[in-house]
Amino acid sequence: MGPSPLERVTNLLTLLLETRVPLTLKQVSHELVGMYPDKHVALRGAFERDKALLRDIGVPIETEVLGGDQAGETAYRIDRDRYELRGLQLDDDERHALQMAVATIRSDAGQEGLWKLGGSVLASSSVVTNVVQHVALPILRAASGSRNAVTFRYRGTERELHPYGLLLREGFWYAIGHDRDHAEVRTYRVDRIEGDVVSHPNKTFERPEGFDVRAAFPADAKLLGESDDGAGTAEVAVDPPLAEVVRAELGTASVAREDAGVVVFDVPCVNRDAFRSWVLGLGARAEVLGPPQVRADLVAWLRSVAALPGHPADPQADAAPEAGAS
Amino acid sequence: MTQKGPSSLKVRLRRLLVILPWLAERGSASLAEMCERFQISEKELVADLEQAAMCGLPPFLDELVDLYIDDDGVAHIDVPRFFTRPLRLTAPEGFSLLMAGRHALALPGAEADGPLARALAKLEAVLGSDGMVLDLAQPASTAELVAAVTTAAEVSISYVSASSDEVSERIIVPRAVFSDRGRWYVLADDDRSGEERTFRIDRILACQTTGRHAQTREVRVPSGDEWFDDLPAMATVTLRVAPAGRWVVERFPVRSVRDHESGDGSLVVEMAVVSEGWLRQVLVRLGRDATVLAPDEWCDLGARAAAELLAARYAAD
Repeated sequence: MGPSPLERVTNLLTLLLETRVPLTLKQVSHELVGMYPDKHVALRGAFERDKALLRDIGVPIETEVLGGDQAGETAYRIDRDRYELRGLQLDDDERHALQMAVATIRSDAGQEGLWKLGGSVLASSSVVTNVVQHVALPILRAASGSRNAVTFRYRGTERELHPYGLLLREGFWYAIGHDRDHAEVRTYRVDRIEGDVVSHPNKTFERPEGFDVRAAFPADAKLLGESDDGAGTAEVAVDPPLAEVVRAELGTASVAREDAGVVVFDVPCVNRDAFRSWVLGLGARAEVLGPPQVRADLVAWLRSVAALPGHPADPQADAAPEAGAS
Repeated sequence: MTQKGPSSLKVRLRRLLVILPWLAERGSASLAEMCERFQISEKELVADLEQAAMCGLPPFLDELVDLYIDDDGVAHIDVPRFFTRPLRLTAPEGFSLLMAGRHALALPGAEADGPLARALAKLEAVLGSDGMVLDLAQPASTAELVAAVTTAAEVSISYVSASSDEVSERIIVPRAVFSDRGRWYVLADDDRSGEERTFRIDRILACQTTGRHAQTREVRVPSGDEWFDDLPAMATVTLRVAPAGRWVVERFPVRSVRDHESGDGSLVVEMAVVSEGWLRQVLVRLGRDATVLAPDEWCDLGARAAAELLAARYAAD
């Protein structure tokens, strides 16, 4: 019986860590005698699978194209300095705190990271957040951490971004940074990125001193974008008891006046779609008092909805532009 | 992480590369402890360790993993120097650890300069500072409810029901606080229904501890899309949603989503309906971006709701 796949790949890892000079495939199969198939194509296939597996779990395999006698051949090795987790000595209380932290979110990757740091995961936490995960997030974070530019497709266009930071707000992740083509700071919703995010280690940048993603991001979706008619704030009357919920949400500074429990708020309405959606979420407990064009906007929307056919029909795919960041 | 059936080669290798350094540091450890810690069955653990012990080839014979499992179920091991330190953190691991740490730091009661902050500073020194911010804007009562969970303290609340907008006074025992899609909820024993209920914290107008305490008990906090299903059986609505209405899928837990067969980018979405009042609001907000496919009695609900809102609030316009 031949070696098991686990045994073979562990031996390959050992060999590539041990070697001082990069090894070609021929040399690898010679050293790991009896581990790999003899026939060249089968050998190449088995080796490529093992190499892909090692890279997949994060092993940094370096390649080098040789010259001289072996011109054109590729050779492989693993740099131990890059392989090992170093420079991270956590004290017991720090490791424990991190363990508690990992228990407050749901993530398998967090658990594997903790194992490497010598911790395990506590069974439960009294506070838990379901944080939306996205494959692009680790790549964006790593690029931001090492100050590498990233490229990705967004709304059908290729973008190049210097990722200054990531922001989680109201359940959505945003990547914020300097957009090369627009030559300004832009915000992108991570879940709207189309396809892969590619990091470019050869293109580096400096993050502006003291940059804060919170300051770069509008505090309220209802402030995003521009309105056609120039109205920036609307007066909205809210009946009790919902008025108290809205007061807690918008803050007392937004209260224009109140009368017998009915509270009138000044609400940003620059982003008309976000504003309308917010007001309609309050149902019949809320009414837009003005300005007139904002009220007229809402009435027009309601009339169009009231006129919709009451049986299944095709919704229009070209409806209003979506609310959200750029 | 619970695995059914044999683990894949990738999982086994990754696990082996964290078990070996851990074991190398101790020299020996009981199989039971390792199984618990690394969430692996004893059978798989022993098989993987034995495989590791077979590794090594000339001229590396002296680098063999030297393993002996004694009768008391304790593994003794001598690990080659390659495997005495764990593999560097991958990008997903680094992201998850930093995210979890920043998340916990943003929770009520976190110490801004305690051990967690120090651990994060050390992680950032290795992984690079990334400007990541988690904005967990919490409603006012969140901190009090979190504190109540730890002592199983009874709390009286004024709650604006999400389905009827009526205020009710209730006595609850908070069991867990969680957030989902940016909203905060408290899972609690509810005296009115005598059942476990989930309350939106932003709709709790006032809360006060009564001074009484219940027995503490562990609850399972529902994750992701499943938590809505934990509420008492609710009706389901099937919507066809145009691309501009996708936010509804991102904002509310759904039972299922698929592409519409026309291939025009619209979705067919099944959602749990908390109440008809809630569905009316969602449909008015979606407008022409949504069509109710089923059940029949809700096909014109959005149109009716819009007409009623016009009559109630904007009749003179």
